[in-house]
Amino acid sequence: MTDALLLAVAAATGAAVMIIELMAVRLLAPWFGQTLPVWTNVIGVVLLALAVGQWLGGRWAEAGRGYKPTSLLLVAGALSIALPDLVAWLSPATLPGDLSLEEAYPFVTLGSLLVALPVIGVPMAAMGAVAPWLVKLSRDAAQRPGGVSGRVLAAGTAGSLLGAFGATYVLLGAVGSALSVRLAGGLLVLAALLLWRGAARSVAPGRASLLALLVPVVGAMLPSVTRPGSVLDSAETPYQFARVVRDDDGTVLLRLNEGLDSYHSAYRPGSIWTNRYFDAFVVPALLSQAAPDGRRSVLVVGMGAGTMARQSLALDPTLEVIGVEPDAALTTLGRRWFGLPEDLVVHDGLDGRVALQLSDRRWGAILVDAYAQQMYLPHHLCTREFFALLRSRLLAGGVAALNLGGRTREDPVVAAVSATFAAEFDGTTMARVPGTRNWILLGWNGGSLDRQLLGRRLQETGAAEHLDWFLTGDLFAPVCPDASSELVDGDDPVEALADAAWRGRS
Amino acid sequence: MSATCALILAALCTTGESLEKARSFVRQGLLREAEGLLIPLVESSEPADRARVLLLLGNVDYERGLYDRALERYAQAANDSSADDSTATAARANRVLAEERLQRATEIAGLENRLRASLAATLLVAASAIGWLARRTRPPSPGG
Repeated sequence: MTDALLLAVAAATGAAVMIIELMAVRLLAPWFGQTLPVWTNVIGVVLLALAVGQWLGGRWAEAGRGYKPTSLLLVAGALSIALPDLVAWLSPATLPGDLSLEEAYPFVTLGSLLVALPVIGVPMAAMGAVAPWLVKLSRDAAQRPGGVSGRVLAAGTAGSLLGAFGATYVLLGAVGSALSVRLAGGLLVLAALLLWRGAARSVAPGRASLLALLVPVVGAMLPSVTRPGSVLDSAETPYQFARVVRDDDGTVLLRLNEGLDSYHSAYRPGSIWTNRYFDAFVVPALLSQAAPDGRRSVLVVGMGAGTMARQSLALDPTLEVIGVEPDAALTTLGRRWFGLPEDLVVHDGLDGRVALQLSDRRWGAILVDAYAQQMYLPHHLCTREFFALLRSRLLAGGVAALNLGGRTREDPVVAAVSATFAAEFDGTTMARVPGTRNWILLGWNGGSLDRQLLGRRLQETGAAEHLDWFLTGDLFAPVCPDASSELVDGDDPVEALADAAWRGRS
Repeated sequence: MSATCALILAALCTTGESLEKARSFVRQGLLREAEGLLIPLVESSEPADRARVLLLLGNVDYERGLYDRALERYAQAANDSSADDSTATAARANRVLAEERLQRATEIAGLENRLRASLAATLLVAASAIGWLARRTRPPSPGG
């Protein structure tokens, strides 16, 4: 058999491994999110399966019997073509109905592993078993085993490289994650056929493996599970899977990935208010300090579909509100579904920290609502260095506000992030937004909460009735810095703190 | 404010003032501080205030998600002979809420255990399958 064919098969297998590995996380995301534990589970299963496959493949090649490479490629290809269907069928079975974000941690970590083991593990093991066969099938294998195995491994790795870049920069945008995985499966089937043709009977697939080709047909017939709530729109973005849904009370919500009971933007047609945590964040916007030219500006970092920006502007049209949102697709959804004004400037495609670093403009207020992957504050957006940068972008007397999720102030994430924030800002104070699990953290670049000014601004804008708890609720309490729990760049284990928060309550 | 300050505050205030302060701490999410004020009051307060102290301690546990402990406190508050009507009613209402939450937490823990068992079973099946596949095709021994 020609080495060129063997190397082509090795490269195709390597490419399929990476396409499936990268895209599988996205297929799991609508159910389990794409947090660090989910990525770790997928990568762990892929590596374990490849190791097992390589070991078994070595034994089979050495013995000259067992599963032939064409059979392995056919099985891997068929299972990969069916992989999106299998994930969508199995995943909901691991998640209880009406699971809240607060309860979700063990289910998304264990559930993603439980689904990944068979659905991703089996095709990966089959792919892993191919390379030892390719070495064995080379004409030069007996004379130059080192050289042959080196070439096969290099071709596989080069294929993986192509698969990784191709998946991210070409396939995802062109055909989406599900079709990318199916195409990778098709590539494996094609490789099997080429190998069969090139090597004739010595590697002919067994009849049982030909039956594997029926798996995609079965996969297509599996019942699809629909999530509760009416979906108005959805988009697979480079960052996440976004859905626009209508809640029972008529509110339009932006849900990302697993969604559960959480949301990233809300809009009640015809109303400024959402009756959700967003409403509280118009207060710092209203308290925005005026620049010397009299302009009062607000920057929203992590704008999502623009709830806070829209509300602030609706209450006080004299404000200049600008948003930063890394995921441009969310801005599009915001304009289409969330009443985000067309003329509101959004710097999309930019990370919040990078955006602040790139511009030295100073703002009267900066609102940070940058939750990523549902559960986590991005680690680089809750360190002392980030908060120092945030303060440096505030006018004297300007206010920064941070949205924090957690059961109590003792929650490890809430405690660490608020203490870090307090170390950098003046007059830091914090309250739980009534009826939510969200905390609003406020800090000033010189100064503190001016209740008289706040009362006046609430009256002027007609927000007093809706937000009177800010003044009368006795909900705010100062936050003290705590050097022992401060988060700094390079030592910002937000995921570990979230894990500790969950273990602490279980 | 630290829990130590709360203890000092407890020593300086009357029970009524301490209770008011503790309520404020709970509203503000300062649970350690509220607990610091309330724990000494369980033993030292007048019988008439004991039920109110227990009710607030139940609220602290509820906020922390410690529903079984909250239930205990609410039951003690509701059954305390000194409890006035409003305290007893609030304790009973909160007990219902805590019971619901505890039931949900137990349900979730059961589902989580089932998931763990499924995972263990999957790993066991995978290990057996790998062993079977490996045994099926032993490579020829060098001698034979």
